[in-house]
Amino acid sequence: MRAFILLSTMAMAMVASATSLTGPRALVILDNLDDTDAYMNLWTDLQERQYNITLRDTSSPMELSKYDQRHYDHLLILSPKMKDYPKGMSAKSIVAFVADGGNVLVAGSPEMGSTLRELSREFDVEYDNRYTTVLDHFNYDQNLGNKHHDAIVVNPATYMSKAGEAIVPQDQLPGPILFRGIAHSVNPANSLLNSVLWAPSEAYSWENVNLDDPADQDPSLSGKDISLVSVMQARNNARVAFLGSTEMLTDAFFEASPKKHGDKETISGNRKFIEELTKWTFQEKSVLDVVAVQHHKVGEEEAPAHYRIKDNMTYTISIAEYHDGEWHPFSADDVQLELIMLDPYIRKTLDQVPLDDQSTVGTFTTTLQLPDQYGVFKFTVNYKRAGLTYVESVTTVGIHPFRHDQYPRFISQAKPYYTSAASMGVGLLVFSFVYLWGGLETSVKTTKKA
Amino acid sequence: MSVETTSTVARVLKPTILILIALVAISSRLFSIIRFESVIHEFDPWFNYRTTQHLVKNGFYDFWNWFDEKSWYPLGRVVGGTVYPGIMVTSAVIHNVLHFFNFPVDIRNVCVFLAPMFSGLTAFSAYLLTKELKDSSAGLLAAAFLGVAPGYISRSVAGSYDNEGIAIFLLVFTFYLWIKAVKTGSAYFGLLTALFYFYMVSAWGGYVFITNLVPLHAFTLLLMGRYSNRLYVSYSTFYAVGTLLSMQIPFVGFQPTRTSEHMAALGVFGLLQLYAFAELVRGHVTPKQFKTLLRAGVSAVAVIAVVGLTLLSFSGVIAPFTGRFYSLYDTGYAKIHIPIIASVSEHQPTAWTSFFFDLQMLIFLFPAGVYLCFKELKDEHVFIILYSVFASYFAGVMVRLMLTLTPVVCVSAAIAYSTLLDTYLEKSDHVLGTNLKPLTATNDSNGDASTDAKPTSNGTKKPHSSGKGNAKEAKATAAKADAVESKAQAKSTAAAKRYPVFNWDSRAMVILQLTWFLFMFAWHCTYVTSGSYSSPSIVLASRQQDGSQMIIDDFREAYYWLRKNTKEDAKVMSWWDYGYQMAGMANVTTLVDNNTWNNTHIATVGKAMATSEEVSYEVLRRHDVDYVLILFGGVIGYSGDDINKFLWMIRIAEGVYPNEVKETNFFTPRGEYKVDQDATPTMKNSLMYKMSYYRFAELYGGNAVDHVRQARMPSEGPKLSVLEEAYTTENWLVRIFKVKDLDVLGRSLFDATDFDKGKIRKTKKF
Amino acid sequence: MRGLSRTTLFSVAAMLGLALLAIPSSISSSGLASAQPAGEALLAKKVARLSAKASANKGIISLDSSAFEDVMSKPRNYSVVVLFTAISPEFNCVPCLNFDPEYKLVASGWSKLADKSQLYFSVLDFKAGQEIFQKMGMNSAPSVLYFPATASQSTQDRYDFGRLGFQAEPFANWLNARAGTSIKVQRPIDYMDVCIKIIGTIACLFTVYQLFTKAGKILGSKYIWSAVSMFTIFIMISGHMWNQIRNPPYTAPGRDGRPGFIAQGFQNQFGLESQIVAVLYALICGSAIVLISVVPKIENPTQQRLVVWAAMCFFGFFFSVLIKFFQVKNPGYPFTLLFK
Repeated sequence: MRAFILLSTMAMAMVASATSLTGPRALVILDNLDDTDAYMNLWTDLQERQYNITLRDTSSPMELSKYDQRHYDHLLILSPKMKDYPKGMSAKSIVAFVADGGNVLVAGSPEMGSTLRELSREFDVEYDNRYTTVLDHFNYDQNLGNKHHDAIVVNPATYMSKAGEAIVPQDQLPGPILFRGIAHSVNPANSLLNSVLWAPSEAYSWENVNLDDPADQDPSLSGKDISLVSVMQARNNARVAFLGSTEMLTDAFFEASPKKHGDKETISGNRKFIEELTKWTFQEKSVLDVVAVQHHKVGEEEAPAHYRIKDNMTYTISIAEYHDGEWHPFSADDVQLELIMLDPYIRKTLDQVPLDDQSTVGTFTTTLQLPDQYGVFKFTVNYKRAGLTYVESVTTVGIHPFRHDQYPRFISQAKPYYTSAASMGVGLLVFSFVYLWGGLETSVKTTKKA
Repeated sequence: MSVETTSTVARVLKPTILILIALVAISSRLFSIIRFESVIHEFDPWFNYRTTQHLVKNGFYDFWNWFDEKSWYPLGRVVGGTVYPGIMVTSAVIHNVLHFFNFPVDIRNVCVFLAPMFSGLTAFSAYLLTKELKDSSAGLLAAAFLGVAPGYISRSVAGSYDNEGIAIFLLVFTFYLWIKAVKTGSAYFGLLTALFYFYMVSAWGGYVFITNLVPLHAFTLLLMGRYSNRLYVSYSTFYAVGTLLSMQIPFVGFQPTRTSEHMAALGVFGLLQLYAFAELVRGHVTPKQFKTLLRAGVSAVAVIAVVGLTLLSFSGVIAPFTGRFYSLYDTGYAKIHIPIIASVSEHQPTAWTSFFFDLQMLIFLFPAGVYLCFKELKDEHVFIILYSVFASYFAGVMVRLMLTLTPVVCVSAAIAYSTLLDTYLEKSDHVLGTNLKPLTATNDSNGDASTDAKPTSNGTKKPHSSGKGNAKEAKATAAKADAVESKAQAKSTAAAKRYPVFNWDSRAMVILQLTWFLFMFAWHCTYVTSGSYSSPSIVLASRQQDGSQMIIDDFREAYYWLRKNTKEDAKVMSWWDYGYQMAGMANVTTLVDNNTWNNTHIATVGKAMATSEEVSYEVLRRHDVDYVLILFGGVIGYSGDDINKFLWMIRIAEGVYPNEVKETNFFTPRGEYKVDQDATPTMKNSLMYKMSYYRFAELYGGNAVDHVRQARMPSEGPKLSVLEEAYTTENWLVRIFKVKDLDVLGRSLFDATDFDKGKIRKTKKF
Repeated sequence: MRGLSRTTLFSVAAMLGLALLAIPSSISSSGLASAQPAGEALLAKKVARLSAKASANKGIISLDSSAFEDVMSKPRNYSVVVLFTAISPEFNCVPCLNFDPEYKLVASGWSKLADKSQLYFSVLDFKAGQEIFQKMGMNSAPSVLYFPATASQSTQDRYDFGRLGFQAEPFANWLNARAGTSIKVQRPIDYMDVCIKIIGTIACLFTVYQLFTKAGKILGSKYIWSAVSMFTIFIMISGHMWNQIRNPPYTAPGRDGRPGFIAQGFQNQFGLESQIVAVLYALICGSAIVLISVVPKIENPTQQRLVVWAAMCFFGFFFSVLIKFFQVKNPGYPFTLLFK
């Protein structure tokens, strides 16, 4: 079995490079390699998208990066039971891996160990206590969760967040999503973190060991506080996904046909959901890139070394979006430009240049008059939307005051002074003529005396 | 003219002596170069040097319109409009001339050697000035004194490329020209005075001293009833032309017509016009009419002047005194209101020791000279008297103004000294031959005292008889007129019975002692110059136990590191003292520098230093700061470090952010300023404290001692989360810290640091 | 269900508690008072007492240890300014004496305003309340602490004499900033002084008018002017302005008990010190002047010789004294004249 996979990965690797921007090399960590067969569909999906997958179990030593070079581009941690990290790996190295631009997918389960908890805690994701499961006595699946009501059917239409909508367009999902696993909660204060899928309102999180005893206290988590799937896009745009269950990736759940109590059978949306999720996580879609930033005075082409106060200038930024293996023009109506010197002096929405069929980038432009304030300004486009790469383009430009010869030379207010000066000159001439040839002996004498 | 000028020997001697004096003046300023190397010193000179480079590279117009984006980030600084361009232009011109004649001199050397060269000229102009007051022998003495007087050397050693370097020359020379103008009453000299006044204005803010002293002189002469056409011509020319020219300097602009510092000059100008007009009228009307006219005129003028001035100053057309000048008049002002000014060391008052240190024996010969000026009270002597009184006051208020005092001290000390020499060296037979008529030394003075007594007396007799009990001036002048005459008689009688010093032994005694004092003075000057005034505070020299000299070059080490290891638009925050040096040597963008024009910005930096990490991190982010540079002397005991300056940062910050920074929180309940374990929590949490003592304890394995404050530091040093140490120089004198970026995972930097230290986060519920 | 029962239980307990609390208070205070107003009554009493004390003594309450504790004790709806001082002569605390009238001035300025209930001025003399001094860790007098109404004793605010000075105005401003009051300082007009001034000026004008010509002579005599300006110069070059600005002690007790008049440190000096220097300068300068202008007026050679020798010895002697003096200030100074 494994042999086949490895061979096929070889083949794939030869065929083509991955459609992921980060790269094709994906490392999967399993509790042990016998679980490999459980995820056949996942592997094939990933290989179709031209990843070459390396499967390891927690016992075998492995290094994520060496000499500041990443060995892998993507990391799937499907080993919730992991007691401690494989040799050569640690929470630090994984955080460093993310900081270095690598993408990570972490899947938990009720048997989740402390190592992964501590790791996810660094991402402000808090998994519920060990041996707890998300239970729901209303939305359980009759085939899989009939006994404990633990395999729950989540309807994306109601329980998917807006961020999730941006990541997994739910109209593409053939059916509801089937989930069996542990609950986690996300820190609402962390703006980089978004939960994609919540548990249904009736669900709650409870120990799954002795389910028959009566509950004698309130559940720690319940309803929408429970995140089933959540994602983080780090400041460097590396993407991390947290799942509450490994099972929702398995063939069993992919091929299952969920059936809630009372209504008819449907087809599981898991496969599509996971596909979209991994596409997003591994940077196959909704990746933005600033292709070019131009700014110049109105009527010129080149960017000047510096501007002058109250100049009229044009600012243009071109952004491209990556999906389906190639770059497309990005289009939006809410891209803003800010002129900042300590505080924003001007904040203006850029308007998009209409696209034609051969345009490859979305171009946003505006023309504005610079403020009447000299200093070093930052032309900032700070565009952060859920699911999309953060766009933060800063151009530093100096705005200078007038040169000494750029002021008006003759001003009407100064007319009196001009006249007085002129009259003075004339007066001097006249006086000296009179003085020299007017024959005023007395005055001559006095000056002699002085 | 005194005796020896008649002989041809003197004709040869004088120039040679002068040249020798100039050589001494120059060479005694070269210690620093011989000891260290040809570098620019201290702080401000680095800015002047940088601007000069810019001027030489890009030409004058570009310099004039230079907007410097690298300083005062992000505000930027309009350099062209906020500097006194005199010194830069001077050295640029010298540089270009030399290059025109194919002497490929580096601009740096021009800058380094500018001040010594000008000191030679200063000596020469001192000679001229004193020559006008007494005679050429006194002049030579004055030149010699001023050439080596430490009070002047302190700001003009090779490498201290600062405005004062040329300004003192201009000061003395302008005064010389002014006196010349008053004496001769020629518009030509008045014009020259104006021109050099303009040069002075372009070179140094101290020009205000001239704008107030010259009018004061004119006014006093008026009061003394010494109005003359000479005075009228010279002053009018000087004021009209000088003011117009001075307004051409962008930095000065319209100040001469608006600020109070310049009002005196304007007032005296007006007064002179009126007085002259009165004189004119008197010539044409009968005394009786004139009396009434004068009454009416004076009262009218007085009313108009008072009303006008009050109106203008209340409507704010005439600005009140600017802080720096105001702090000269009300000495307590700066201490309370303008900590920035008070914080500058050279704005401190002067203790008597510094007077003696800078002027040794001149300081007590100086009053004797003033006394002699009083003895033969001619217009120019009046000037010297005024100059000495006011300069000594200002020098007392601000150490820095010793500089303006030194020339007059040298001049009048030279007068006193040379009079002594005259008295005890004069040839007896010559004396005996002429002991009935006054001595040659006082001959000329007496002569033209009588000549210029004439116009004075007949100029002032009439107002005395007519304008009795009228305007104050009239009264005063009348009184003065009498004084003048009585003085004239007194002098003639006094001069009549003057005897030579008969005994050779007393002569010998006096002369020998004086010579000995002269030697001592020379030694003192050399000692002071080489010892105290020749260290280019960017390179420090210290003696070790074994007496060997150790050169501490940490500043340049740090700046070099910055230059080589940071991206060229890196923004470095530091206290403002080091702004110019960083810009000049490290070529980085600075937030604040020694041109302290924006109090708020400086206060912001002070706040960033004085507050806790969270608060100051926001400030740092907001100003895009990449690095923070501080001085720390605790290892080698360099007392001028930032912890010692810290109180000023706090005060300045408190002035603007009274809620975030409180000085009292940095003092222990017992009112002490401590850095060891009983330092206040606010102190311990302040960024400055943390940066200074970061990993300091480790250096000594736990029991570290701060050698500046003699404090035993706690074994557990402070922790830094928002900064990381980037570089620390050999002797820990300069420490550079890098401002961390926001955490990639959106954690707080404190958590991130803990995680990197291997600390595991506690579980928490959201 | 269970939850519900718990809440009911609790509420019952609460009622009981309230009842119990209510009983004694209703007994003690008149009729239908409850626990809260009792405290207020207490407070009201205290405030009344304090106001009485204050009004008795021109708006300043003089405290001793117990009174201090009483004033500081909770409940407290007023802020307090306490001046820790040592007036009594045996301490000879000059600044205390200087600041005392200024403080009174501000206090009276406050008592002029309406509504005195929110701020009290009080004085705690060292003799009256030594233990308080120890308790607050006061090791210097005078010092002024401001205790805001809301906070406890620990959060107090100290007036910085060093920076703001001993004048009433800056102190008032400081206080206004802290307490949000609007105290204005009106210095009482000293009529006597004013009268004297007026009379004096009139007299001067009169005399001037009378001997107009003489006055003119006096004003015009260059000897007066020379004296004045020489005096100024001597004062200035001996570091008088430094004393003006830094106002150092006139003398300070030296090591061996005797008053030392030379301050430690190069950039530091005492009042007496600078005056001595001024005198030295004057003496040397004087002898120089004698040598210049007196000597040539003597026609008797022996006399002249005597004078010359005397003057020159003076000159040399005092110069060397001066250098010695300087050497004390700057031990590294290598040159000496007479005294090694």
